[in-house]
Amino acid sequence: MLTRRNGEALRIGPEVRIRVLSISRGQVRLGVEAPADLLVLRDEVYERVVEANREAAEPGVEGTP
Amino acid sequence: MSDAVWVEVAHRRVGDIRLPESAVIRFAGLPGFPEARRFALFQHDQDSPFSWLACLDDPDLAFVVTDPRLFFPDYAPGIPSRALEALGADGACELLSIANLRGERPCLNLAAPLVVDATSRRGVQVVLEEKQHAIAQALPEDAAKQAPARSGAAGTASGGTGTSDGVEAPEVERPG
Repeated sequence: MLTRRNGEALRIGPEVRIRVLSISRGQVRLGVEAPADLLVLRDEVYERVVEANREAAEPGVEGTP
Repeated sequence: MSDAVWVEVAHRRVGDIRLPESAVIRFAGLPGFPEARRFALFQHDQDSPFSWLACLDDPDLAFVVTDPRLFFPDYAPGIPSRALEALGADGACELLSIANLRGERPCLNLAAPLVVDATSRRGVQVVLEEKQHAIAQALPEDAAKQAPARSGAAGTASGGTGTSDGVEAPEVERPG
């Protein structure tokens, strides 16, 4: 765990930097710098896709083995 | 082609797969399936709009995919350029959607399409931030009837010839 103030940043490895852009009324705006092949998404958006993929990968009720 | 390296997988969802190494499509994992990296893409049936995207690393994993614009001609997702950069894509890319044919009403995931670069044979599932694309967009009633899971074909990959994009078709053999 670490604490950051407005305008400060943290790094994850050599290529990812996350900066606190502003804090206001319970909302934090973050700026993310990351390589193009790294997926940067809101967690809940990603989790929805995980769930959709898992459901789609299940064998069909009928027909498929 | 005599030196072609062939990949063979006894796949439990789609039957035996045999295709040249050069036809393998590589993903850096998919959301929910981080270890799924090598895939074979082939048509379910000559007349079907649906294809199989069968994982070569996991013989139990296969997705039914289709060109979403066959069903939704106006679908034009803005694929972020950084996603294309990551593919090394400089030319034509194939756009596919994962179909979920299990529920009462079959649907396509339009919120997270697959983009496959025809040249590099690399693919990525792009998660769109645009809110107008549904993660479970119901297919038109008649379209669903052509879906593999409901055709009674027991999920076997018949033929496997003639992919739509002119890329060398993987050879898929029927089990048994």
